[in-house]
Amino acid sequence: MTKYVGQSVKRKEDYRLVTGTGQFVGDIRAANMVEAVFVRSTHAHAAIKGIDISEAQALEGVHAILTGMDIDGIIKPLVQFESHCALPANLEEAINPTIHYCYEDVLAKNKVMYVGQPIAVVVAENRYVAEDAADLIKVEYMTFPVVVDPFKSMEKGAPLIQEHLQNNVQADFHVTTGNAGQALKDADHILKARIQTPRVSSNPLETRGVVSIHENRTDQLHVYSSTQLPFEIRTYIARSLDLAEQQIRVTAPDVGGGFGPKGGVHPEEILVPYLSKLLKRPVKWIEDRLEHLTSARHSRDQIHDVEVAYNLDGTILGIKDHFIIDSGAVNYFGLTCAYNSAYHLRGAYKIPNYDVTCQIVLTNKTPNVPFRGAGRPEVVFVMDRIIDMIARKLKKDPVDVMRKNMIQAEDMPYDQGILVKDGAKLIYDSGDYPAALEQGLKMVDYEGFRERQNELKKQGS
Amino acid sequence: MDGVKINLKVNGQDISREVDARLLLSDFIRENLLLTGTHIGCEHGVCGACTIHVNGDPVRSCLMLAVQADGCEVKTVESLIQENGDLNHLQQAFSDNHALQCGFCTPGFLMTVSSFLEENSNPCEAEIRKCISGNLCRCTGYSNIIKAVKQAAQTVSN
Ligand code: FES
Ligand code: FES
Repeated sequence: MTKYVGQSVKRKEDYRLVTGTGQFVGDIRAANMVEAVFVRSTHAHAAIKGIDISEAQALEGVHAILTGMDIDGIIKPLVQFESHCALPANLEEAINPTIHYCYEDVLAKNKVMYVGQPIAVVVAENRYVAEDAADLIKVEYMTFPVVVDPFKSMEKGAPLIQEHLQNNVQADFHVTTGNAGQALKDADHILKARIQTPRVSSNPLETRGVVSIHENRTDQLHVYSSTQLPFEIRTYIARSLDLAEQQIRVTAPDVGGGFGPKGGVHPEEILVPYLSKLLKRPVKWIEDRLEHLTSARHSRDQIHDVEVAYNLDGTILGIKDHFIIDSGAVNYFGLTCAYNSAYHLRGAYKIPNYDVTCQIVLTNKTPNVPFRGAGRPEVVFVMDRIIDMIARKLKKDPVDVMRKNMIQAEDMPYDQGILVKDGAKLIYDSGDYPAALEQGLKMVDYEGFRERQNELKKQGS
Repeated sequence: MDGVKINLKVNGQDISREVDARLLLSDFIRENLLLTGTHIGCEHGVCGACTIHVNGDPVRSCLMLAVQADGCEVKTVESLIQENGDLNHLQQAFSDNHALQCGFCTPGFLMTVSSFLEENSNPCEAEIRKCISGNLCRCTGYSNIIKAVKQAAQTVSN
């Protein structure tokens, strides 16, 4: 161990990365390889009335064009990840969740649900020709009313995003411990606030990309994807194309950053392998930056309406939170971000009365996936805002409100009274948060900062 | 589409090819010459990942057509390594200072910085920051990249 702990260990990948000999998905080549380009929806919500590919098809160098109708019954739609939607029985009992089935066709068939949704794919000699052809494809739309506000989306009579559902609330649950209602009655003060984290599009410097090589002799697919989830991709290719997992090898080569958007399974990861099998030629698709911004999955987009019961001395007695996640057109990840948010909100604080309801709402936006932190950064922000707002109301330093409410070292192990996502009890086993806070304050010279701030305030600058 | 004949020098080698007039220089380097160290992050001049040298100047190869490089001397990240296979001082400095994580942005940074250090062998921190201000890195943060540039400058001046 002493060989490694505390030592600076050289990374094995540096040599290839600084000499330009790394192997990213765009660097992979194979004999006879052709390139794919996607035609994507320019509308957030519309029926597809017709797709005219005749001119594109006539272009020299074009090998194939597929639309949703061409793969109807051949490629199954992308559905929510079972591994994320199946909950342990005791958790189900505790939070009484609803999760409605939702899905996306890998090429939109009858209607589009968000801007950037794939409608058709062109395969040609190279990307230049494929883009020429994509430009010649004419999609006729009949636009529907667009729902981008999750509150409007929940209203009765709002246009349905996923048409098989009764309404746009795709999932919900309720988690509670103590008695938040009573705390709100008992407290000196009640803080009511709406706290939001915006929708985020994460942009790794390398965009997404897929290369697929089909070996005819063994009927094997070798798929390279710039992904965080090679095994999920293998499972979903197998399921969507009716193959055995053993027929598929998925390689994540050097990946130029991920941060979340490379953590879902996207339609291209199903279609490119299919095309390589169909055409009996290696097929490559490299996403461009505009596609990444519109079509690669987004995240965050939570709106919390909190009621906080607190006393004059800054003690927080309870929190009641109703929050909404705007998940865009599809929710692939069940309660992953949502429940992470619910059970992490209180963080390092001792708040025995806690009651959270959550609704995951569909809108005409790019589907969400978990990004870094998966629901946790959102609620760290909510909790920090609560502390700041209470401090402001009571004219106290926020640090004092923190100190007042922190779980103490001697409280460990500390039972938060609710369950973790895997069904275990949420018990903090160890930690000295107040000491950590003091150490942090010292490191940034918090007191000195406050003094200087007061000085400057006096000077009026 | 009619091909256009171009002659240029790439990493010291004379190259003569016929290319489509619309072919980007970045695609020419990657697809025709198979020099895939030059990366493409945005294809519109924003990220700097595709930076190469054209006649000694750092240039975004995604903003140039291959035909515009006719008669030019081009250098890519593949030219930096020493003949015996060792890293050069700048590559070594990036590795020593953990100035890369995924490494996708790295070739662009190396090319931007190497031409900068040729002009300015003893830069101050502000000059280094300005030099790399046109290159984006999404993973590492810039502090270690600045450290690496400082180390490289020192190695040269020693
Ligand atoms: S790819 Fe050329 S600047 Fe980004
Ligand atoms: S190291 Fe990943 S973008 Fe710079």
